[in-house]
Amino acid sequence: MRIYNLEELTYPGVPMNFGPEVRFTNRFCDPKVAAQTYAEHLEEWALCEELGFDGVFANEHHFTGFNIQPDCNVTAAALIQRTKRIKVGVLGNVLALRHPVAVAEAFASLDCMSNGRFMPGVVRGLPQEYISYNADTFTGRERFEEAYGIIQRCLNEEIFDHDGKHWNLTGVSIWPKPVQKPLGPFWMPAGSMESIRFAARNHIISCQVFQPTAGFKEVFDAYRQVARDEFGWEAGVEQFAGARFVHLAEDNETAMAEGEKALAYLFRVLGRPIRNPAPVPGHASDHSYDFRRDIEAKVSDDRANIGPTSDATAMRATFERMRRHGWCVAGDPDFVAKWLEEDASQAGYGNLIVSFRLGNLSHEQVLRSKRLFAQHVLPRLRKINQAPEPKPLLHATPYEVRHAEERRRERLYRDFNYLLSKDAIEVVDEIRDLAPRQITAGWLMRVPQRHIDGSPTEIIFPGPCDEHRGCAIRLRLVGVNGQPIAPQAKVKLTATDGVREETVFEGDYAAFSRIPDQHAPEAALAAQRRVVAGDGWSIALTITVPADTPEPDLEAEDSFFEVECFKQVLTVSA
Amino acid sequence: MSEQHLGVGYACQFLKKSIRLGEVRLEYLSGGKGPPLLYLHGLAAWNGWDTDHIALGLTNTVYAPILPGWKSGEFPPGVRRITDYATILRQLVSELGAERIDLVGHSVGGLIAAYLASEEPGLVNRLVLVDALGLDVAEAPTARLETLDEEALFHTAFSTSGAMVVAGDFGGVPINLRSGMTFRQLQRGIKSLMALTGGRPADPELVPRLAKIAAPTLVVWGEQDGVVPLRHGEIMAQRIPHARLAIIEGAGHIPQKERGQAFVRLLRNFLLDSREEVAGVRFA
Repeated sequence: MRIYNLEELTYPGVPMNFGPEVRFTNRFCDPKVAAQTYAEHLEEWALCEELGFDGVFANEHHFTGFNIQPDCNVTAAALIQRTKRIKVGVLGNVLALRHPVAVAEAFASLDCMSNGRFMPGVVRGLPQEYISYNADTFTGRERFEEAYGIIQRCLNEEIFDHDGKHWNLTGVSIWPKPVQKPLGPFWMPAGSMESIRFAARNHIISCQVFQPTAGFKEVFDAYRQVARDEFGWEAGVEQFAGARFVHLAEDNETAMAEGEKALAYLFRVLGRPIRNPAPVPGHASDHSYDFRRDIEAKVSDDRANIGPTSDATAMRATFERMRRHGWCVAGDPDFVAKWLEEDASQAGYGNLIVSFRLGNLSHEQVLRSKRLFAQHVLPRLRKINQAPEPKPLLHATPYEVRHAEERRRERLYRDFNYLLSKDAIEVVDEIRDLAPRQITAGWLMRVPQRHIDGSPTEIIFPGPCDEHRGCAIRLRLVGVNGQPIAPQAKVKLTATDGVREETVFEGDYAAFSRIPDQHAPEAALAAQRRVVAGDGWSIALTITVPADTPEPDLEAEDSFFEVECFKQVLTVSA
Repeated sequence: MSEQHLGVGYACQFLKKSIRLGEVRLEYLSGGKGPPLLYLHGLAAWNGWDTDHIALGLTNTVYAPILPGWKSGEFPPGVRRITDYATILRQLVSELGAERIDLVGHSVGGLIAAYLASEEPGLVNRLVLVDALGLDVAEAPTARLETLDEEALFHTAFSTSGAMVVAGDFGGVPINLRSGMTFRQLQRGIKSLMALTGGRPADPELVPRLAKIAAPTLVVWGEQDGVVPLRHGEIMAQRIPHARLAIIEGAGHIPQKERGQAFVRLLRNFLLDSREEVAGVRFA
């Protein structure tokens, strides 16, 4: 089994002498205490590398002292700086509250900062977290799924447009690219049937927390079944993660006494500035948890009694129930190891995410607990639910697809931003040159002079390369009186600065006239050479016909040309 | 983003208010933003601001009155018959300064809403009747609620056998319909209903009235309603000029409880003029 560390980063200094009716606003937050607890947590996380953990996770919650990391990407960046070898992940970004492109950019940056050690995670967020962001719960799930698709495209495609229900995006090509190809696997909590189905379809690792062993098992079994029946793959133990609070001391009594006190504090700090008076509508469906009916019926009596109480005996009873159900695995190293071995074997998860800092446990208590865990528990857990070596993810699209396709050189260069045509402002004159045996006609164009601020202009004709066959050139001409132009007429597109002449294209008119529709995809002819026409350069598109054939009528409605090119104004002033 | 601004934030906040209307003191819950909407409770009076109130509050300013005397059985002067509540509510609308309202009525509230909407067709923008009482249907009579013991009432009112799993913060949370406040208040409400209908909630005058309703109407029914059978909903949808019948699968008399998410999506779509499909709902 792989073992990771996630901490909720609970604010430790909330006074206990007020009731849940008091609005849990940030007036209870002393930034000095927050700074101190951040410092302690970062030190505790960094210790994981030395102690032999596989990685560390940061997560996020909003508007609560239960977890004062509202942006886990920030925490992850700090953890990357304090580690060298182990993985660093987020679990995860609340997609409803962020722009998907920003999420992808952050993930790619974190993967570069860590040189490929980053574990990406996404979450739907708690219903409460939608309230003060005023986010729409009714479209929450469809936005989550669309956002995930956009993130994958950002991370795996060179450039794309997205025309979706909730986002319309153009020309997205994020920098940097992630180091991992592809970046992943992704992690997400998946407890409802909709989330299970989504995770199984996308091979996302499913995480569970705050459920008894049987609750984990039911959710993971549902995932296995959906993966097999609906998506045709077998999910192994590496596809599942169980998250547990643990607290270790040399003996059970100490661990339990400390754990119980910390849990009472945890209940207090779960308060929020706005307590929604009833479950928020639209976040789930009526059928999200139908598959859990049996297990919930079995454990419901116990669960119903979990909660804060001021009565000491009742608190002890509550704590023992919660210890039994894995809310807090508190005990000596042997108890914790046995409990987790049993839990992981029964529920069938190959990733354990442990949290040590329950409620307001002190830095010293956590360090002691963590060292005991690393020394006595971690080696035992390593031996169970071992995953096979990770296989490359076949479902993700690698970067090189576009490049490979275009090696066949079928495509024209598409990324033009300008079209030279009869109506372009660059056209300064028509050419008509009568020679004894031939007539040359065409259009003379001029690249504008340097701007008054010194900015030069360039017109660039992209020539062929490995990825494309050059920019498109389209031409059709009719002769005077509507007669056809001779196929052997010579077409030439050139650019000159008055000293040297560069040829963009040269060929027979027949090559154009045999294409029935030059605007059909890939049907036009292409530039044969890359040419850059700078300030004041002249560009000429000419056709030379034998003298005994019809002369081109440049004014005719049916006579046209188009050259897809790139016009660049190099602004040098601010 | 092309979405409408329909975040869930503001609709979670509500106030409990009280207003004097002549000799009657009326309490109501209010919250949300948008055009005014009157939401009339069924046999169980409102206990608080619930998920369905939040959902309606996303599109409307919701006024959820507690029918005077309904919980205590001590009815104010002027309330002798169930339909007298329509007069009080008409006064409430005037006092609120609203010219037109959206109107939602559940069960006995549906009966009162149908009265109000037929009495004053110009007052109601859009009408929603949920498992509404009041019709006299020989082939599918309303349950004789006053004769049912607790067990029988439970099975008549709900299609679910007891425990349900609904969404909580970290996964499914079990709830027991039988032990909830709603269930206890059903029995209180039945007594009030009997007192104000002379023991007979079916009203022969209701059918001709339905034709006078001018508002676009959504008739919502729990498919397994044992209190007011689905046949009543079919008749209402036929008799009301601009009505559509939506049937919620797997729900009894209180779809807000048993199929709460389908219920709120259905009403929200109606109020937003959206034709989007809702899982577990079919239109007749």
